[in-house]
Amino acid sequence: MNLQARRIPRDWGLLWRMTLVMALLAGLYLAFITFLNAVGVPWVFIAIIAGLMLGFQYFFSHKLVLWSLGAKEVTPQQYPRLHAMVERLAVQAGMPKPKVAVIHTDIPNALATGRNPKNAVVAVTTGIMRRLDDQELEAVLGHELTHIKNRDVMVITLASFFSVVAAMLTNWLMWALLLGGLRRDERGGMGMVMLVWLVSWLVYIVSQLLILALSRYREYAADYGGAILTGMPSQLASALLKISGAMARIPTEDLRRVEAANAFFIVSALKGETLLELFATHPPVHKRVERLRRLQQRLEWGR
Amino acid sequence: MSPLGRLFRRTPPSPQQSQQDRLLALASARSTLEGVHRLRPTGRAGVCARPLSSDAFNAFLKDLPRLLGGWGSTPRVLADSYGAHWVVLQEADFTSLLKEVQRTAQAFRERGFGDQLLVAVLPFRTESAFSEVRKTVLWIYHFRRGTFYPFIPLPGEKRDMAEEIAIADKMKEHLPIEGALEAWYPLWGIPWLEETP
Repeated sequence: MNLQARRIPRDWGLLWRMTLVMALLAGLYLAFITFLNAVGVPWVFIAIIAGLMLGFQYFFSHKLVLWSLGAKEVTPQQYPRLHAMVERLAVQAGMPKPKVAVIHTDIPNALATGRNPKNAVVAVTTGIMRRLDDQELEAVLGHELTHIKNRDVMVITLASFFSVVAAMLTNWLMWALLLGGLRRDERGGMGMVMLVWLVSWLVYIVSQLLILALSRYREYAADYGGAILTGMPSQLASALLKISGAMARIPTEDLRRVEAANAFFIVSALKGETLLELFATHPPVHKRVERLRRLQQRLEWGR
Repeated sequence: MSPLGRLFRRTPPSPQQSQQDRLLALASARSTLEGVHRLRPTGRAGVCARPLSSDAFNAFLKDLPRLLGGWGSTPRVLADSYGAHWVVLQEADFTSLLKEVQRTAQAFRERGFGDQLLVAVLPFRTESAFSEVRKTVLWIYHFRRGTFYPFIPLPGEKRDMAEEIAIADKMKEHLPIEGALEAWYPLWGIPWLEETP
């Protein structure tokens, strides 16, 4: 099989927005450093501590995440089909096969973690395996492998570096103001501390919003990459809808049988939110499904 | 009736009348279905009715082709494995087809069998050169609820729910879509669907 044929084409619109968010984030951080420098805060010292914190997170977070969720690494003997799927997808994506872990909970979920493809772990819950059929599970795994391939853990860690600095400053200065602020005689110094606190707080809020946007775009990118990898966007859409619970509400019993069983089939007794409300509470799933649907159409009709 | 009484007389639109208008919404939604989703009507429709153990009802069903015939092609009456009855209509012009469905439903109501009416099934197909992506979307019109929902059957009594939700969401501005997903009942093995016209 020619693996090059599976090369993932680019989604330029998404790429452009992602670049824009990263540029905004870089601009925000630069302004923040300039500000800290100008008011004389020893930001290098703070940056070193933040760097150590993030470094720890970068190297050990996947272990922490998996440990906190109760994920257990499993062998190919325990879960042969799951391992075979991950292996096949990894080969198709041209990356080393990640470790495979299972979380024993009925909540349907899947995640990928690890700082680079060599140290990656992909974990799925028993709940998601129970609910999805093989093709849908493969689509979800394709999404997670794309996260690994795109090095999303690293991207988000880097993006949150100065956000962490801002958060630390906000936190420390709040305590400094509460505990030590009263001892200060100098009015100017007090005002300066408050200003630094305020700016750090603002930087933290804005950067968090930008990071959220960035991680949403990474989700879309992983949807896109995963869908291209498996060649079945509709399977991922179907999996997302199943996980969101919408699918569970659609009946599978035949109308004629239902109507025969209930002679006095009371129409208004049926409850449930409307389709509109459903999508109002789940806008991301709705949007992701819509994108996948467009992609499916492009794959079907575009050749 | 006094002139004053006539002035204040309220004539609510009969529910049947307004529901018939809702069925015709599919006629105007058709251009969107064809243009955006590449779905074409197949030229056929089926009206599904619940069984009723009554001689009058069975005589009515037997008489139905004669009652409805005259213009267009003569409808056929079939029974399926669930014991339900189908009135199968064929008409190349889509708006005429919908009017035929209305006429059929009207005939049931006039004879007092309106309660037996379940759904009208309007099949659409993609016109694709690639046979593997050729698919059927059935628009189901529920007579009592006056709403539509899509049903996309797959082999082995499965359905493409993701696609159904997606297409319903797309069409909700054009059609009265059934809001309660719990009412999107499938209809497996429709007898007249697979035969080629």
